[in-house]
Amino acid sequence: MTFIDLQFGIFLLVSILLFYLCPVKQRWKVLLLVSLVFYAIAGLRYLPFIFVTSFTVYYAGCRMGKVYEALEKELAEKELDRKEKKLKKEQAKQVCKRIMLLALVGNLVILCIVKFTKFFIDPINHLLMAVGGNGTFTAADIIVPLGISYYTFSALSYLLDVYWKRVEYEKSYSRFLLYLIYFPHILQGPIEHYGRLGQRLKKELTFDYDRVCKGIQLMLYGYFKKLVIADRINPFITTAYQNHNTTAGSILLLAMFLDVVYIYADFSGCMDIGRGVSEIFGIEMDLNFNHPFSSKTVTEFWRRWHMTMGGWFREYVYTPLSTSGVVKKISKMTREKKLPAPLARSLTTIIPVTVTWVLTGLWHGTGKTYVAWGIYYSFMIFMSVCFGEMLHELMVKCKVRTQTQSYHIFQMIRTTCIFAGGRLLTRPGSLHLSWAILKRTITAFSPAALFNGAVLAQGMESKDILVAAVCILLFGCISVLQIWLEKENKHVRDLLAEQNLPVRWCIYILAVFMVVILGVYGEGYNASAFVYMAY
Amino acid sequence: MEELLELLKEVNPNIDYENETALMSGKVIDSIDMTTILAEIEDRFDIEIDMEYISPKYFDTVAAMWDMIQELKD
Repeated sequence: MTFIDLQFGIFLLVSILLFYLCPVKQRWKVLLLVSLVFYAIAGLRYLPFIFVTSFTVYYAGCRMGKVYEALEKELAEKELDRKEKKLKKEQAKQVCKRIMLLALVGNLVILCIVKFTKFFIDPINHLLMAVGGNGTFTAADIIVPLGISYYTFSALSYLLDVYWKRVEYEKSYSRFLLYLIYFPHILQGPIEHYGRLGQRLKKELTFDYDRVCKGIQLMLYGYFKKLVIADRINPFITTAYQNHNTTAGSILLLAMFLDVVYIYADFSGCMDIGRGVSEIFGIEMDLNFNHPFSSKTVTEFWRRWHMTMGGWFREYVYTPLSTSGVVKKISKMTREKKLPAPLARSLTTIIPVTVTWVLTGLWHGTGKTYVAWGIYYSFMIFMSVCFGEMLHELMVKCKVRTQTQSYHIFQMIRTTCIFAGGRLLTRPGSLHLSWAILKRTITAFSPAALFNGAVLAQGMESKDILVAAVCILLFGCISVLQIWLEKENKHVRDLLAEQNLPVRWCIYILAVFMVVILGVYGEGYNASAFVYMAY
Repeated sequence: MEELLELLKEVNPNIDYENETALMSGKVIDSIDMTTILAEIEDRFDIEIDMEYISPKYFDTVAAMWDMIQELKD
């Protein structure tokens, strides 16, 4: 069951009814129950995985918390000198480090087994045959629990936060399980910090009519993005890439940019539905997209796109690496030798940036394409961090006005092109195909193909193209309006709320009709699963 | 405190350390400068800064950094 199934609508209605019929203090238990049901519907066989992760991390958190509590008590009660205090602290830290590493490694092993086993099918079959089995193990036999990357990362962030004393340990296992399995975020995130979502789930969850309305609005907007835009343009990209040998380069280029719109509409659409559902229950979830295509640089883009995943890697991989002994030594050496700034910055960032981005690639997928994707972004970010200032100085020397709106638009287009390049590495499915598509785009560009009817041979009829174009334009206009309103600390939804009742309802009814008629129930269309659910 | 300010200005003189209140959370100090600042603080004050201290709570203002240094010295 995903957010786009009819079954989900019924499930959500029942959940909302149960939730608000229950006394306020018991409502979190309803959320836990319905989240467990949601997960069990997805597959009963997935449940043991999430129970193992939640219990091991919860238990490790409790153990570490108790060690720290005992230390605090001892330091407060006994009169110890500086050296003794330091020794006690180090001893406690060592104990906690062992507990943390055990839980961290154990859960990462589970994640790696689930994600990497498909590459070892042949050796596994040989092994099975050697011990008397029939050796018919296939990729379909691998159990990939729903949202494993998301809940594992959420659990590990809690584990490290307790270890680094950033949050208090959770004493209730049920509360901790709810934090991981909470159904609006289990499918595609956001990857929430325990310090934020865990605390929000502890609030008194009372009914608020305005908030429920806003939640429904957000869900509707999410469905519009997913069902009307993403699912409508997806056949064009698939057809163009599948027939790349005979498709004109200009059509392939159009497909590359439509793929950018597709992934954004699909992923942010799912986020809006999840966040909208959560708002109905009175729980705010972290923002995962903040107008990524308005970014001037690729580093800024990754602070605005899939923000919670980027934040996770920044906090738990990049920062520990960039503040590790080795990197600090490199940084010191560059200062002592008075190396030029771009070289010094390059040497200091190369290890943390490369490791972080290759791991980010592997988080998305386990093939060579994702490793290439990670290296691609390492290179782009490395160039942006190390040579960005130099480029800026060069622009100033060339009398290019970098503060103008036109220059900002140029930067936005550049960032979008870099992102489209990254998508081209992963979407076709193999590096060989990506290269073939790129080669064809350059060598057989043929711009006339855009006007001679070839566009209509890509799985979309003329009326589909018209609807897609109008809806993409509408999506773009809403995004621009939102950016403009944010300067005044307002939201499109506030603007909507300010309108008179008939106007508001006209917009709501129009939006519902757009989703119902132009979306999943439109002729010949079947909604496909969300792309990021696979991670 | 003066010694710390001097150190920070050596790393990046373009930041208004005295008045800035979101040095880390507002990304005024970038990650590369942060690495340099950590290495320099550890060296000059003979302390070891653990990951638990690398957060806005200890790095958003110069005063917070100074308090952290004193805490680690004790």
